[in-house]
This record gives sequence, C-alpha cells and structure tokens, in this order.
Amino acid sequence: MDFSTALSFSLPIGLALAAIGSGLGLGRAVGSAMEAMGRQPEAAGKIQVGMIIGAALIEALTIYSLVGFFILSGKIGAH
Amino acid sequence: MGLDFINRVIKTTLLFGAIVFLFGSYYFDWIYSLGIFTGALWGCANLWFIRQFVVNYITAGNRDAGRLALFALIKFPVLYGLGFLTLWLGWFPVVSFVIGFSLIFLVVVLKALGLLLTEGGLKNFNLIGKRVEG
Repeated sequence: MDFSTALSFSLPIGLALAAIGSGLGLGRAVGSAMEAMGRQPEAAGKIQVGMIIGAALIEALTIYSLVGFFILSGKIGAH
Repeated sequence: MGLDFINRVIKTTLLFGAIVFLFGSYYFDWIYSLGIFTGALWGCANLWFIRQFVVNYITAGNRDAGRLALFALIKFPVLYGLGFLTLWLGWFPVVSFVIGFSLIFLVVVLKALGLLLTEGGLKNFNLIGKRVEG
C-alpha cells in the first residue's frame, strides 16, 4: 500500500473518529450541565458560561481535524 | 463571571482580529491577514450562535419553535457551510483561517487568567483571604 492509498483510507476514518468523539463529548458536557442546572438553578448563569465555552472548545477540535483533512487531502495522488 | 464574559470575549476577539488584520496587511501579507480576520469573525459568530442557542432556547422556559428552527438552520448548515465553502474555495491559506479561529480561545484563556490574577478574581476563586486554622 503506497502513501496516497493509505492517506485516502485513513483521512475519512480519522475525520469520522473526530466527529464521533466530539459528538460524544458534547453530549456528555451538555447533559452534565443540564443536570447541574437542574440541581442548582441559582448557579445556572455560571454553569451556562462554562458549558458554552466547553461546547465551543469541543467544536473547535472537530474543526481542526476538518482543516487537517483539507490540508492533507491535497496530498492524495501527489506521490 | 456571568454571560457578560462571553460578550466581552467576542468583542475583544473582533478588536484583536481587526488589529491583526491592519498590522498584518501593512507589514506582512494582506491575504494572510484577511484569512486570520475571517477566521476570527467565523469563530465569534460560532460562539455567539452557541450562546444564543443555549441561553434562549435550551435553558429558557418559553420556547418559540419557529425561531428555534431558524437559529438551528443558521447555526448548523449555513454557518458551517460558509466555513466549508471558504476553505474549499481557497481564497486564503487554510492555516491563516485556523490561526484566526484560534484567536478566540487565546482571548478566553487570557481573560480567565486576568480574572484569576486580579484581586477580585482571587477572592472569587477563594485563593486569598483564607484563614489558616490552628
């Protein structure tokens, strides 16, 4: 298997793994924040801020992997 | 640290991105600087939509289904599609877009550090004013 073939197999798998991990992480983070807000409604403001920043960070990781996909997809067929 | 923190982060990132664009376009390369500014703008729009989504629709009591659908439509297909299109068309280097997109997280970290290191922040985090018992 040459470099280009290996890349064309591994890139979509890597991107899919990143999307799955991000989805699981986001679901867990939002679920825990909802539970915390339900338990302590008076602290909802602070929990929301942490949740929003956490959600943005988790999304950013997937976007980084998408950008990596864009950069590396240009190398498929180049070798 | 309330929801005002998010608004301040967005404003600071936009200002930071604009300054980077101005200086970068004058001293370095305007296309690269435009990529950084576009990335910062996209990151701010993304955070603003997440904030609106969470504050108004996930945790609010009264939900308007039409507006919820409109926000979901703008946030997920339109904003992400625009980002994808921007990268796909290749108007500027992808790395510059990523740098601009990461500016918002740099601002978050610096603002959180600022809050932590100021006196009020230290009191909020219970790091000063603690009595040593015994």
